[in-house]
Amino acid sequence: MMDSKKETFDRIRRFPSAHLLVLGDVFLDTYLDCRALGVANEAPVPLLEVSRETSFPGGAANVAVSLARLGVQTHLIGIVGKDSDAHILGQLLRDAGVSFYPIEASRPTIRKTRVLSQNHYYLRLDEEDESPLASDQLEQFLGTASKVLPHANLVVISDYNKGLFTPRSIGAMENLFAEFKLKVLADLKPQNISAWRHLDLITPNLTEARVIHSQAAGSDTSQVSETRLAEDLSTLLTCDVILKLGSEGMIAASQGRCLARFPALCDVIRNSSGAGDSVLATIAAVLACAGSLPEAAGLASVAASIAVSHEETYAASSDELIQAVEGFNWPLNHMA
Amino acid sequence: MLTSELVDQFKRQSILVVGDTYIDREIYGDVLRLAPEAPVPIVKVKSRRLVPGGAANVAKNIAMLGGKTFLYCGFAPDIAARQILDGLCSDGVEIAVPPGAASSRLPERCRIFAASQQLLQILRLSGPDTAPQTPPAFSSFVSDRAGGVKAAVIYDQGYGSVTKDLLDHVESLSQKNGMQVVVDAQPDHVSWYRSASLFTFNADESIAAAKRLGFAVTTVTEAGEALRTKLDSPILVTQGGEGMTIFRKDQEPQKIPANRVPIADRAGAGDSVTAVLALCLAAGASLPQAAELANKAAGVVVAKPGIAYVRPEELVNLFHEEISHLLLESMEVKHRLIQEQLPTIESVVRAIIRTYQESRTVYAFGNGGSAADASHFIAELVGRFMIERKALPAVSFSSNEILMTSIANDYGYENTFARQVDAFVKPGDLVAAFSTSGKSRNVLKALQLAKQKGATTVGFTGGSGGEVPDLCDICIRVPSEITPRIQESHVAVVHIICELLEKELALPEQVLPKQNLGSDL
Repeated sequence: MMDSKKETFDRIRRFPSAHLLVLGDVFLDTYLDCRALGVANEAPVPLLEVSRETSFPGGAANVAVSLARLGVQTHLIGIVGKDSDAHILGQLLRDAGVSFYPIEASRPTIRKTRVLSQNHYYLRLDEEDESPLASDQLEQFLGTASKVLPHANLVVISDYNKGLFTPRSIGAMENLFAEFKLKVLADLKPQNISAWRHLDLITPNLTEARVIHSQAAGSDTSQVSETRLAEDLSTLLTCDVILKLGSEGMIAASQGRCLARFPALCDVIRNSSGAGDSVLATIAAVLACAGSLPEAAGLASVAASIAVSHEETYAASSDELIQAVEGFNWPLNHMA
Repeated sequence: MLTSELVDQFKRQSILVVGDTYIDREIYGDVLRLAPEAPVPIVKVKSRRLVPGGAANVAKNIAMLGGKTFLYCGFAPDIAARQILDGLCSDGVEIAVPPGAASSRLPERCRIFAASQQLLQILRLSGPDTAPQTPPAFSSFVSDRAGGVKAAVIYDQGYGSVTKDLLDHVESLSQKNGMQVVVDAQPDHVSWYRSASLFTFNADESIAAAKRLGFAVTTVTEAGEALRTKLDSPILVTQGGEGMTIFRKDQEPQKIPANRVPIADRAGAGDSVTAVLALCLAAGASLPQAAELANKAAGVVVAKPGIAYVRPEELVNLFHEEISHLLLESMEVKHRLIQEQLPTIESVVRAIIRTYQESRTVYAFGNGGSAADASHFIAELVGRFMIERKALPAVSFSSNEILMTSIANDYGYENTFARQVDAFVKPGDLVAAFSTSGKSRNVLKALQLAKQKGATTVGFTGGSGGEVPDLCDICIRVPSEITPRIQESHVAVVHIICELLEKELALPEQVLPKQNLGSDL
């Protein structure tokens, strides 16, 4: 048992030697904490006053920040606008230690603004343009990717269906990945999955998994058990699957077999936003350092428990990961 | 001054605007789904708009109305503010920033709309480091331009640009140049003002301001009365859908009801009101006239979603709409006349034809406008209407001022027509009485006597007709309560009667060539 724990610690300590490239939809997650002043006098709507504005990297940018927190040498290519939000995002990523290669496009930087007062949530403002990327900007994106890829050990795709990933761009990216024989891990929206010829691992949540399954199997899958769903997906798509079940933990499956099922490792969930990004980052880091799928899933469970125990979007550092693993019998019971 | 003339004067006015400038940000989007993390709407942003707010928006409103505007800014603009102010310059606003003013992020008011419905307003006030005024710069800026400036607007939202010092400068300037000063006042600062040409408040502000001055008031009326006395100046309170009220010294409060228009929202309406008031007062309009026009401008602005502006041609169009509204009203009355009175008109024509077939005479009378209508009728009969024919015997009791005045003098005004009926009317004659109210004593008395003497009595009246219908064999009652609308219909009916009876009485070979037709009467 101790050897296994030591092996895992050694792997975590080797994270800084890994180079990962994250490709995907980057955005800014902004929180406007407001004071409610009452009702506006010109229309009967709430009148708020901003007391604090905080912004975090979101989407692929949060995956990159999670990787950097783990000590991985992280490269990120994403689309931004020619605006002040791009400037803010760039600064946040630089501060987090991510090598960011922004591709400027004639669209605004994607931003999701949440308007809150105390803990009351009023609304979310989404600023985005999801139309497919112009071809010269796609060329620029691929050109930048081909310069970074020779240094990468693994590629992470974070697709929020915001116009970057289209059958055309996916085909061109896959050609590049094949050239460098790189493993590709992806967290993606179900509608784009059929455009990929090959992925090495996907990390869907239950809703996404059922959609992907019914697309691939062409039948109603609402009655299929979660374990069976993960197993089926790994066969149908010939790729490894980490099925995220939220408070029910996660399932790892490969080649039609369930390799591990872990429960959620924490009792209190304070904020689950961005936990999925932390899961994807941890799996990518472990696999890039030659870890096994069950080990990756086990560490991802630990990382997720750290992420959700914080009030705001949070990603575990390698030290926090080691400290947390110390508290468990390691490896975790595969079939809890 | 007609509205159109007043609006035309706007382009000759120069207005100084000082006070709090802020940014109005508008975000327009669609709500297609709820957020996964909580059941609240996700507004997918489709477009954004940055517009000048506060003093800058008043300045822009003045510029859009054709006036020349000087905007004094007590701060050095940051990037977002620069963008706004550059836009203002291209709209024709001249902006002065005092040298040495601290750079500051402007306060911002963000409105979020989905499908033209406002969802939320978010304020972002700048810190307490808002740049203070630098009066020396203000004085030189203003004294360079004050020559032609006939009005100033002080716009105070309490964001820090308006200071006691600044107000003293504006006041001394106004005393020197006789400049009108319109104050959009912050309730907390009312004690700073000695007097102004006009203070404007919205309903809540008026109550807050009166309370601030130590009055225990709960209604706008109480607040307006209290402020008028204390500030020694006219007060205009805008009350949204209820319109506005003017409070002036030694006068009853004057209420101006809001125009009934479909309302998008009230964003920017207050600023348009202030701009129109300043332009009107600068152009020499009276306060009630300025308020009437400002009220109309508000009606234009509230019909447009978000911050909106009113253009001079829209105000002139509103004036034209008023004219067309009156014409339509007149048409509407005639339309109802068609629905209700065709058989009655026919009966009058028959009665007159019968009168002439029996070689009897037609008499008519009325007071004022109705006197004119009665005489007009008689003239069409004695002379000709459209077709050449023999003269018809007809007499107006309203057109002989010697008879009228002598009878009135000797027997009292109520006998002016009855005495003439007594003198002329014989059985079988027809007497036509014109009275829109149906209540004129002299008309009623004459009808009574005519009836006694065996004449056919015909009434031309309106509304309920008063006592006229009871005294008449036939009565045309115009379905309206408005005297001018009733009289317009009387003239139309007189013409129709003449045309119909003339066709009946004229011989075909006596028809004149068309170009010679028509009456000069």
